[in-house]
Amino acid sequence: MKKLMTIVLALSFGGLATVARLGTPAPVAVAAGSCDGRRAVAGDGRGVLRHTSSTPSVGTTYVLDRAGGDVVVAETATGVRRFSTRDEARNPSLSAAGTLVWAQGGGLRVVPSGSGAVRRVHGPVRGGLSFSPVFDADGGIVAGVVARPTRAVPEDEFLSNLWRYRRGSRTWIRMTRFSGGADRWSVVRTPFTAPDGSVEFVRVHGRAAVDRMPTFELWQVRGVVVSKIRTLPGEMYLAGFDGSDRLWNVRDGSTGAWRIEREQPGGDLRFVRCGAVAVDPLDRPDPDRRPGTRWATLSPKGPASAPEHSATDPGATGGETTVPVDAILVGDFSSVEGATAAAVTIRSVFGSTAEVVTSAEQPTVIRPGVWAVIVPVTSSDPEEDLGRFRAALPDLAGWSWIVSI
Amino acid sequence: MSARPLERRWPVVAVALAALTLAPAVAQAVVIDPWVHDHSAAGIPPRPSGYTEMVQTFGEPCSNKANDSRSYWPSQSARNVAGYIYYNPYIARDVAYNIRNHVAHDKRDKAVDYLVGAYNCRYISGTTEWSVHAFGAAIDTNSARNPMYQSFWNGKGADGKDYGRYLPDVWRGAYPGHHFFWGLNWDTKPDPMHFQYVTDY
Repeated sequence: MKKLMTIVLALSFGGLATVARLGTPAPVAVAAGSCDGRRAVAGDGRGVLRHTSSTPSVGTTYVLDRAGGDVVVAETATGVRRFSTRDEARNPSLSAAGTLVWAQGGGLRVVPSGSGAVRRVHGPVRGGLSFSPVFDADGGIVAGVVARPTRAVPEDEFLSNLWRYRRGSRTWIRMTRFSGGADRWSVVRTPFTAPDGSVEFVRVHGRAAVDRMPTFELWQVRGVVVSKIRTLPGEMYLAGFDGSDRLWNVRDGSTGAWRIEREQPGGDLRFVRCGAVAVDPLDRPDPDRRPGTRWATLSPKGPASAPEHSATDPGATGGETTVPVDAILVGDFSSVEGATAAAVTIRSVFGSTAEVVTSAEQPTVIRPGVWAVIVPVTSSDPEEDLGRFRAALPDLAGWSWIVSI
Repeated sequence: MSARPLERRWPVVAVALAALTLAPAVAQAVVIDPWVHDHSAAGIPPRPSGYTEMVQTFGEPCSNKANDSRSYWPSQSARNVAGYIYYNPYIARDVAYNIRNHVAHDKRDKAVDYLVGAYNCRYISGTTEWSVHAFGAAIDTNSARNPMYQSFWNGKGADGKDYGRYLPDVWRGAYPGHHFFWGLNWDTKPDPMHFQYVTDY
């Protein structure tokens, strides 16, 4: 097996020997120091720098993300090549031989070493979306492919798998067979070729409707064998390898900044420095999600006929009006007896009034045919009240919501 | 004091009779639909910009609070099949008290069409970015007729009638507005079904 050690390093690793040898200094994503998430990012001022990766002794590649089409930049010993794309380009990567690949739409774009000709590779899933292509030890291209949207999941991702593209036969082979649906979802992220020739990646799976972080796992593909290496302690994505050490992208939850951490032999992580490899910058607006002007104005006929005034000025429209009230709604109960019993419990345990209601009184928060209990919010912070309520009545915690009525 | 002639009292009697006749209707109008917008700071809270402000405002993605509020919407789970949507309490009063009541007050529930959704713990496709839905800070409406990348709004409601831009205008609202950002305003990546309470993310 051809020994291919793809070491992909953050741009902020510019001082490391593996990158410094290239003679084409990489742009610095962030300065050393704390990852405060608000640092200005270097680049050419004509796009947001994202999806950076470097291949030792070959070069560095990244995307200048712009509104609409992007620019893929490859900096190698032979010079700097720029490729303008018609739409979003994702996750460029260089092979040991200098071949460039990136994901675009449902497929890939491949540029052989020393060539400026971009070859289009159609993806394996009609209506799908490809991402994170990397060259494996045998010269094939491994990429993530997102399943096409469905009526139940019209946007965002509920399923992706790894596929392998054989450049010789121009065929795709599905490598992983994870399944996912409208609620239970499963995605793959940040595949990298490991020093031993296997492909390692992060699998994330969770439930769309559940309010807890999903499960993060490290997986491996060796030949046709797909196996889980271990469950990860939290949200983290592979950033490549430095020698035999795994490198990780770890998100700073409060700022969205990324930091690179090195995995220690015992599995512990050691902070290396700020920066990111192959993941998306969170602390800089996506140029494709900046407000346009096409639909900025309201319809000529005006927004609606509903009365407008501030609750702080209840007399503005004249007549008798209500002022909104935040409340804790507990439900739904299939019988009035059940709701009444809950109301009694709430009064005795939580020490609050508790009124049984139906959709006849509150049609916008209760469906017809069931009963619920309304508990007034007494503080200025409804979430604090909800927290106290759930602590006092844990059996009802999963059936309580804040509503405005 | 002499009594006034009946004919001179007739207008008074007529008004009294009319009042007696109309009273139930007037009372009903006041009792059933006394709603008006709440455009106070509680009803229309400040809208964050960027990831950091979004986390400060809504908390971490997929957090316990991200789906702590709910309201009941027409055509939520299928055409003409109502259901609940769940979202972050930060926008509870705006989504439920302002916007849901606004549509109900206008008697335009049929303008809403399948699918309506809010909280979802998911990624933006192919990225390491959490969807705004994972923060409970975005609502999709009329999704089946307004898929991502469609560069126009299809205003047909559940009854097949074209309501134009009624719904987008309600979500955005007139001054001071309901303040949701409309995904169709992403010129290069339009998302007409999508309304979110954050910008620059």
